[in-house]
Amino acid sequence: MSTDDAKPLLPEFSPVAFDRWLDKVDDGLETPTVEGLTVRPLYTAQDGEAGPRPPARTPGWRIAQQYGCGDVSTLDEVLKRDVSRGLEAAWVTLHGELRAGAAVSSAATGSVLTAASIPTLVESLTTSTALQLDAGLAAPDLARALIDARGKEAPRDAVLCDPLAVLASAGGLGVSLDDAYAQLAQTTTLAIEAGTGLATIAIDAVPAHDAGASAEQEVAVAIATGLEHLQRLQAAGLDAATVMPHIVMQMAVGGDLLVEVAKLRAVRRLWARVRAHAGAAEGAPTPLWVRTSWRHATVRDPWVNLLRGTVGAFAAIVGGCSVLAVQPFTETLGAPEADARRWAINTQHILRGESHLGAVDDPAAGSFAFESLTDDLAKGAWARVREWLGAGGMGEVLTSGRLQGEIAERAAARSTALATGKLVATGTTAYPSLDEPQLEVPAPTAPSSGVTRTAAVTALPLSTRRLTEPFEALRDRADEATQARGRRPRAMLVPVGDPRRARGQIDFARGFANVGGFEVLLMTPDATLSEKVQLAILCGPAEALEAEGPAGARRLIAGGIARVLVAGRPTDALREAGVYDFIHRGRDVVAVLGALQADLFASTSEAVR
Amino acid sequence: MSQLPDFSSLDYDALLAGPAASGSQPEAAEPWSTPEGIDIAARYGAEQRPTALHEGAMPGFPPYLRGPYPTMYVQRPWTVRQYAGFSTAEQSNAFYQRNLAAGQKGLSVAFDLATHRGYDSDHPRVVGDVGMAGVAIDSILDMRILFDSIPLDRISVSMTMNGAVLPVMALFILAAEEQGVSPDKLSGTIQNDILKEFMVRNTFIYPPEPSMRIIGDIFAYTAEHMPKWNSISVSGYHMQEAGATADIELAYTLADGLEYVRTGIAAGLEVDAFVPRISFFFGIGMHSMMEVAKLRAARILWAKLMKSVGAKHPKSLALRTHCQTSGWSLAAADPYNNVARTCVEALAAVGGHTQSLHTNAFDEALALPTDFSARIARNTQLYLQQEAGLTRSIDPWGGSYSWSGSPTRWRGGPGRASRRSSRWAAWPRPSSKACPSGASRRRPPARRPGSTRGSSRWWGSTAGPWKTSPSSTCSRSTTGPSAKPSSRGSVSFGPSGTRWR
Repeated sequence: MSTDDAKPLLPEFSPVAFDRWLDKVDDGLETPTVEGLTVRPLYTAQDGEAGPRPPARTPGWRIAQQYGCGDVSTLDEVLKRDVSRGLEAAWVTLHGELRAGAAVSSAATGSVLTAASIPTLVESLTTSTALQLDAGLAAPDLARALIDARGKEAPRDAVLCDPLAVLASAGGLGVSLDDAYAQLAQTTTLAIEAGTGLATIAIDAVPAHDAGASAEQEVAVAIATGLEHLQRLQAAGLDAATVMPHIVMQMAVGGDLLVEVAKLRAVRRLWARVRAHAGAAEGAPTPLWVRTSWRHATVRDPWVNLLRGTVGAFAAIVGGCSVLAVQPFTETLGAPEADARRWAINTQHILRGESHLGAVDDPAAGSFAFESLTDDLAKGAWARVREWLGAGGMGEVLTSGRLQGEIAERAAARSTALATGKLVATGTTAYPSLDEPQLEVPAPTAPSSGVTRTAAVTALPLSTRRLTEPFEALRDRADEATQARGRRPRAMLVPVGDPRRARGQIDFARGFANVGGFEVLLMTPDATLSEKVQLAILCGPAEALEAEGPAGARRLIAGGIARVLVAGRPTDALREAGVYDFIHRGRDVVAVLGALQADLFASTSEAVR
Repeated sequence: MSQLPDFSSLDYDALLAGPAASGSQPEAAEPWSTPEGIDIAARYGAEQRPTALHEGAMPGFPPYLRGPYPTMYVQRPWTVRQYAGFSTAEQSNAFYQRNLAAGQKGLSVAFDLATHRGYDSDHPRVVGDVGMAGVAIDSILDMRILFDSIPLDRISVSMTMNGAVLPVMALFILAAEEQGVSPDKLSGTIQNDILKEFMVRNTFIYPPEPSMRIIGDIFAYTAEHMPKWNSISVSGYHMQEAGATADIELAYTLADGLEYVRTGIAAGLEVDAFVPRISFFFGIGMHSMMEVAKLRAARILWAKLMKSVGAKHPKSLALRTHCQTSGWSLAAADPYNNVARTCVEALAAVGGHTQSLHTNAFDEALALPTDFSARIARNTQLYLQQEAGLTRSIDPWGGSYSWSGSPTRWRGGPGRASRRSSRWAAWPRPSSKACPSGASRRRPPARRPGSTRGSSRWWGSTAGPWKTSPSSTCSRSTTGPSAKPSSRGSVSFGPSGTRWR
């Protein structure tokens, strides 16, 4: 083989310099993102040496799912069934108020479990299926109960608390941060004494993700949270090397494959370096738990969530997760049923058994694109971490509200990008299907947590808003209007000039109307107008709109159309002809449709009355 | 107790530079040997990436390792081209129009078996096949309806037609002329790959040599009159569906391609006059890494082969391909799992930089796709284009120590593809002569021990196309049977049908 290596495979072709490629392409092909980096059109060997690789690990991951079921009886049944379908780790999130140890105002969902529930849960799992509880301040009792119930056979169980993440998502804690960390130190000591490798300390960046953080912020939150944990646990008498085997890191992945792989590699790189500097490099790499994003999942056309789950899982595996929860595609609709949960588990079996994605550790290593993006994110995130450290560390930037403000700014930028079409949610913001089949999913049960204590420390809670909620509100309003009038609201698309040349504008207008829940009728300007239609959109190339647009608009308005829009840029002549608004790429679709719906649907209900 | 350093004083370089991460190395896992005979290690490093090939590779430059065009998906994503056709021309036309309105960008016409074999719909020999696995086209009357209201100067059309290629292509050109579109404006592809019909797909009409003459004639006609038309789609897809491993699919497809080039040369054409219009068609299976490497290897090997036959124009060296996700990998049991399968296959096709793509509907192992399943299949591609960020950067796998494939492994492992193709290139009997003897028919199923594939699938007969036997009976199906049939109330499956590609 070495003699083969010496011979170039393709002696007839000479290497091409990057500049020759650059000469062939236009400028401006970079994509700025809201994630804290700009994606370049091409990465090459000229981008330099790759930075340190994330720590080597045995390739592969454990198949998990995250559960937030009501009470132990439901959960028990669900877990039994899923374990029989190949579940390897049950990632159970406790009720928000149990985690916070306080009655908190933010919406609290999750399982209501007590120490007494643990034996039943352990019973429903096999000895090789891990139980991983996001327990928050309820951890000590649950940890003790789990250690007792498992005995010596504890398959990488976890009873976790990240005081900072709990505070951030609940908006309050029943005890002070100092007390919360003292409690975490105790639980960890308990785990050390038990000697079964129970994980107790979470570095949880999922709430930041769900609140709309950029990829760079998520990485920074994870690293800064980890540093705060090390600092405070050291103050409580446990040094970094001692606590390290009991730490797990939790992240969420969205759908952007390039960014998400880079995000996970960046956080693993930075944390490995932190460990080295902290004198805690020995031992296995810190496990990385990943779940597919709640933020990116949709309620409309939920079948696309199956695709989001698959690509998210792909990114998580390539990025080096050790536990992966692909969430059921109906998670946004209610309590996922057996089939939805099974398909989520099967997605992982397929990627492992059929696609062999677990065969190679860190397959992105060496890729010019993935290495550059990893480095960009790691560098940017470390700069954020240092800023926050300068401001007093993670606890301080959280209680002061600084972190929430910074994340909200990115979340707003992402919402704007979605509303203006720079980001897309397939099936919701593009190519929606008005007559998609409706899925009946039972509502999640929401038992009371029984917690009454008021918070001892508070912070501005991080929101958990899905990206497409404003778009779903548009569809909901259109559905209500449909109910009220007995048929869908309609938009008439009116080609101006040669209809064959208007195809692009017609497609754009159709997409716009459908996103707002309007059914589309394609008509000619001189067709007999239906009195039922309140909205018309003139579609054509700019020259045609200039020549024939104003007359067309006047004719439509005279015919009784309440709102005439133009698919194109505004002109004075069209405005003067009475055109109400102009839609084109870059317009805020949510704002335009929201205003239209408010006008048109209100007048309908009056008419109906 | 060791003290923590002041992390705020460490800049990024200092953080990376500090004490070595002496974390434990995982135990070296046994390499895993794929059905292609390639050993996959648990970890790859820089030493596995030959610098000369990868550092000097730019998209749009021969040998096109990183893609045939300089900007690839950044300026224009791959074409969403869903293969469809059923029943009558009217019904297929309506289906095409709905799909184009919902985001599809190109058409791919499936003809029924009768049309493939050159029979009229009322011929007694094709009773039962008419309109079953594709659309029935008997005359210009049908073809005219098929493309009604579809502007053929703007929508590219791919036609899967091999045996009856002459009449079907003539009718297509005529239908366009009736729309006022001259042949030079037509873009699209005719499959026109007769060699793989003899090997695996079986809808040949004439013996190999006259069939090859037809191909030479089509090359000559399209080279002169249809500059935007792909005169052939050299197909490996059907070999993979018939059981070929990635290396065998690649080798035979490239060998077929070379044979067509020789046919064109023998017909008196200049290499650079017709080779740029040769396109390819690969199947994309479940092993993501292998499929990405296969498409990259295909491009550099084709460039090498074309250079060797005297191609001068850079366009003659560029391998452009259509891809389709594997029908073989789908399961009839618990069909919703096929959504994830098709999605991960599409990811590999895009990772390998295909020019157009068909994604299978999840219920294709059971029946013709419904509007509902066709929507999920189409959305799979739209999702990858719109949400997954894959159109932002060219060739994200380029340079990856493991995925981009190294010449070492192309030689030693996937490299056998290269060896095989050069062996076939030097085969004393060219493929067209090898066909009647059955030599090439015997080759594709040559699976090695440990192959994950079924054992008798490759020998598709004209009556039993490969699409009807998905891999659900295969012992490697990982998802297990469903406790109950999982079709939800809102979804119904149409009558059972078969697909011919």
